[in-house]
Amino acid sequence: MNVFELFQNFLNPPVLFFFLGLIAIGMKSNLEIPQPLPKFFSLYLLFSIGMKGGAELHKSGFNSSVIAVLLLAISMSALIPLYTFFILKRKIDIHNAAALAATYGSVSAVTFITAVSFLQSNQMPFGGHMVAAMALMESPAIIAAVVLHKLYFKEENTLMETSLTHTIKDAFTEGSIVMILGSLVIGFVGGEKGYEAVKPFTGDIFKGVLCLFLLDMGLVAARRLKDLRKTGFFTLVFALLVPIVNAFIAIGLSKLLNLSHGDALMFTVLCASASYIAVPAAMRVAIPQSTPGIYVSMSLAITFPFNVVVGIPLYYYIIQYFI
Amino acid sequence: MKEAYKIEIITEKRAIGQVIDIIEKYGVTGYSIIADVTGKGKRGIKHGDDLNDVFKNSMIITVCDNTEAENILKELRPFLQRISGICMVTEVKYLVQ
Repeated sequence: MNVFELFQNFLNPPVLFFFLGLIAIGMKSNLEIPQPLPKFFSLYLLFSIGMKGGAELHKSGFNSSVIAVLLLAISMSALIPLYTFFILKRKIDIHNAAALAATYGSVSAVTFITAVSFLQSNQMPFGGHMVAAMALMESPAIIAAVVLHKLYFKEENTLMETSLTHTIKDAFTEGSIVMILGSLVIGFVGGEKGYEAVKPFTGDIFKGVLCLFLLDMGLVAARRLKDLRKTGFFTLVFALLVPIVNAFIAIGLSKLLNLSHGDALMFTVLCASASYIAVPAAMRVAIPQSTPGIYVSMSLAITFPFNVVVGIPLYYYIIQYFI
Repeated sequence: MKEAYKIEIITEKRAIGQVIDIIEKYGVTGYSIIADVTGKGKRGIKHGDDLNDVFKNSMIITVCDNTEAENILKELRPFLQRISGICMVTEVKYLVQ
């Protein structure tokens, strides 16, 4: 892949539809995807990659290298909040520092799905266990951030405090996590035969649904851009730099574990992405003093577009030369 | 017609279950919910366009007597301070069926 091919990513229909969403809001168009269709699209995409990942995992089976990748993924999800929390705590209040630490430790399923589409376009395979890695990386970051918040912030009204057990339960029962893990297990049990049976639905229309979903993400991201005025310069720089730092750590670890290019890209994208579905939901319960207008806007209006447009092809380019 | 109090609460959609628990705890058995409410408040704009209902509010409306209203409001105050939301109370005439 050369630099020219790298920028071909801009011309990928899902990426162009994302831009269409941004432009539509910019020109004050009344274009919108009616609710609850975006929710259905997201469930469809999770179902689709869960089934595919499960079927792939059925074929490849569990071995020591698969388990090593899964353990590494969980560790990265728990460790990223640790270092980001202490950086953030110096500049912003402790509630938003913890929420942002969870946001950047956890993962974005939509960025992952866009990377799946990118790899498909480049005919590059990846292991089904990376879907399991994505599902497993959602929760450790939430738990780590809530523990840090509890350590550094003593609430006056302890009766209203949310228990850690409640947070852990919520982190694992969030709809998107149940959907991806459930589809992965069903795909694994059904194997290749089961996947072939649902393939016309999960495979053939995948990219079309992704286009419509990214159009909606473009509309939502553009609306969130206005909220960024409140976040300040430091957080804007953070939203661009932390994904790059995490991506470089992930690429280094991928080389150490000798991962294939496809697996290395998926692992890198997971580490570099920021959550805006599971984390905000958990933070509203565990740390309600935090402001979703800050952490959702940063992940959705800066980190997500950066990863989708520049990050994914850039990481892939570096992986091809480095690993 | 019976004298009663109408309580209207607008709070985060994801927290509406906890409000129902508070209302039912004090013996109120009926309520109505407007599931998707958008708007702007102290904690910013609720666009109502997200995938996990974080940027969505719900409104719950119930009618109760004076004692029930006092108990509910006492417990609602710290809840709303923590989660965010507003509560409006109106004296109303209630048509007993």
